[in-house]
Parts: sequence; C-alpha cells; structure tokens
Amino acid sequence: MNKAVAELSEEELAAVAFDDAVAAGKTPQAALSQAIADYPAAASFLSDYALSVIAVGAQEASAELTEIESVVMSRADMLLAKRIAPVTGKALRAGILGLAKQQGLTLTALAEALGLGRSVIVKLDRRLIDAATVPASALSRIADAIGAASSDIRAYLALPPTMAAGASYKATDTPATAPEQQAFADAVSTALLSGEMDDASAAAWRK
Amino acid sequence: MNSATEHVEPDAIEYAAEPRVAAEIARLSGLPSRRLLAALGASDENVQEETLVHFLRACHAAGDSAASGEIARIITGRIAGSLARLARAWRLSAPRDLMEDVIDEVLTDVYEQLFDSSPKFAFWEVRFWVCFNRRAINVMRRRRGELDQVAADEEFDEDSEELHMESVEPSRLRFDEPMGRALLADALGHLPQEVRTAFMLKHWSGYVEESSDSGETSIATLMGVSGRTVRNYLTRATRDLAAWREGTGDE
Repeated sequence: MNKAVAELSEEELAAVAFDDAVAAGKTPQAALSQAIADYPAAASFLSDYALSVIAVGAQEASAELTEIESVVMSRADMLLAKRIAPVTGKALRAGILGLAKQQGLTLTALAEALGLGRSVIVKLDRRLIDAATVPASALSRIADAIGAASSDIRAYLALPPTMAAGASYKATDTPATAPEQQAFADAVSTALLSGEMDDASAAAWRK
Repeated sequence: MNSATEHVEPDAIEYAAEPRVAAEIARLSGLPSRRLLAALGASDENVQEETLVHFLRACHAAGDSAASGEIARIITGRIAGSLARLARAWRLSAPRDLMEDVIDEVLTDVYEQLFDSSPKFAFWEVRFWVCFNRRAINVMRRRRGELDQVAADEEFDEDSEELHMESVEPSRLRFDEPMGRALLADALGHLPQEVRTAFMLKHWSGYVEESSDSGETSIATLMGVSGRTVRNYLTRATRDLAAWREGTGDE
C-alpha cells in the first residue's frame, strides 16, 4: 500500500505538523509554537508530545533503560504468543522435543546436529530459559533443525515455564509454583561446565 | 515530509508513503516468507518501520500469522528503546507492576492497530512514529494523570486562593542546551498535566497568561481556565522545579 486516505484527529494532524516543522529544521520550541497556532485545540497534547520527544532524545543508554527494554520484549513475547496462539498449536502441543521427534530426531541426535548441550535443549523444551534472552540467530538454528518457524518457537518459549511438554497438556496453565527460568547464555555455560559442549560451540551459541 | 500530503476533500487527506518505503515494498514483495523475514530483520537492511507494517498486514491477511507475529516482534524491537525512555521520563517505570501494566497497555494498543488493515489505521504505513508516539504518549499522560489527579484536584480548584511564589527566571533553566533539556524533561515528569501544559505554553511558546484583547491567544484561552488558575499553575511549576533542582523534590 503506497497511499492511505485517512481522516486524522486534531492530535494526529498536530503531531504531523510538529514533526514536519522539526524535520524542516525548526527548533522544537518554534515547531511547538507553530503547531499550536495551527491546532490550538491540541495545545495540551502538543506540549506533552514535544516534551516527550525531547525526553526520549535526552536519555542516553543506561543499565536501567536496558532493563526496561528487556521487559518490553518479554511482555511483547507474551502478548504476541497469545495473539498468534491459534496457529502455533502444533508447536504448543508438541514442544521442541516433540517437533524434533516428528523430524526423526532424538534428543541426542538433535544435540549433536546443533552442537548444543542436551541440557539446554531440555530446558528450552520445558521453557526453563527466559525467551527474551535467546538470541534470534540461536532461535533460527533451532527452528530450522526441527522444521518450525522461529516465531512459533519464540511463542512457545514465551509461555510460562512448565513440566515437560508431553506431561503438561494445557501449556497455557501456570504451575502453582513456577520453576525459575535462567538466561540462555547461563544455560550454555552450565552445559559447557558439565562437558556437554566444547568451548567453540559454547562461544558460537552465546554470540 | 510536507510534500507527502495532498488535499483530496475537506475532511479527508490522501497520504503517500515516502519514496524509500515504496521502493522497499516493491523490492521485497514476492519473496518467500523465510527470505522476507530474513530481509526485514537484517540490521544492515534497516528497513523502514512503515515497510514493516505493510508486510505485517500482508502476511496477516494471507493467514501467515507466524510471519506476521515475527514481524510484530521486529517492530517491537524498534520501539523498545523509545517506549523505555517514555516510561522513564513519565516516571512510570517503577514499581515493576506499574511498568509492566503500562507497557502491556501500550503494546496491546499498538498491536491491535498494527494487525488491523482497515482504513482508519492506514496511517501507520505512512507515518509510523507519529502513530506510535501519539498512542504511547496518550497512555503515559492518562496513567500519570491518574496518579496525579488527587493532588491536582485539591490544589487547583478555581475557587482556591492565588498562590504567591518568587518567580524563577526562565532563562536560568537553559533548556536550549542538551543538559538543560535533560533536566527539564526529568523535572517536567514531576508536574501534573495542567501545570506542565501551562509551563510549556509560557516558557516554551511564549504565550501570555491572559489577555483582555479577545483577538490575542493566551494560555487561559488555550486551556479554558481563568488567568488566576494559570498563574497558580505557573507558581506550582516554579515551586516544584525549584525543589527538584535543589534535590528536595518528593522523590
């Protein structure tokens, strides 16, 4: 779609006017004054809009912001998992090991094919690893190996931790005492320490 | 940007996507799902957000919800930084329950509109950041307003006595400089909405508090309140900003 015909609200028109004025080189102060002159009914919204744009631009990267961003991604995984759940039934029912089995792969065979520790795969299958900590590249490799879409696997991982997939019929139910999740990199480190993986493989998965 | 708009009829405007977005859509259309997702998610491609929305809706309309979900996640990665900064600036990033609630509300609202291809949400494919900022900021305003409501009601009743505080010279805030803007943004996160608006209109846009000239736009006319109320808002802003700058604010 290259064109859209829309009836925009006063706020949207005012925001466009402000953004366009800034893009044209006006200072935020001048842009705000001009936009208010054109859309006086949106004056209160506009002043907060301008303030917010400045506030976003004024904050440099920090550990606090990184933490909030990780919360955003975690909540997104949860919300998107619910939204696309009807088409991820296959992954939700079978789990990672179940999908591997459908590809003719045992746990050991999958671990060897991927160069990933068996304990990591089991933790993923049981959703004992925080989905937000699994790198996109790792997700893609695992999904490819078991014939699934990355989004399906991410949606599966975003559900609450549970028992082994085959033992938990209702995957959306949260156990009374939810098992603790760990970061993907930590799970790989554990597998390295226990001798399930070598240094090179662990380093590759932690990238 | 201005050239992207064309007047069609009194209440409807036809918006054209930026040429870069149109070119990206033309280049990526027809790719198999897996290759499309790889291209959309590749950092070196840096595909425009409007392009991502276009393909999210195309995949959703085609019933490929796995692909649309993955694109939604890519979009979320693009907005995560802004959303985090907005939540922090509006002092809605703590406690954790409040932050998660606010983030859920923004994301739910955004996803509802991203997955809806009806004309009323078509503007997401033309001006993504205007749409996102408006939704996110309105959630922040409302949530912050709910937290501030009691104090605002008590202090700024039309019948209340006019407050008297020594004015702070606005130029001392130096919000034309990066550090000043950072201080201002943080400080304004501590002001109730009406106070914040009055302060911005006065010290940013230079409007007079009130005017006997009916042809002159004033803060009072823009906000629909009396001149006395405006002055009370400004006094409160001065007092709170001074307290904040001296480190004696309520946080």
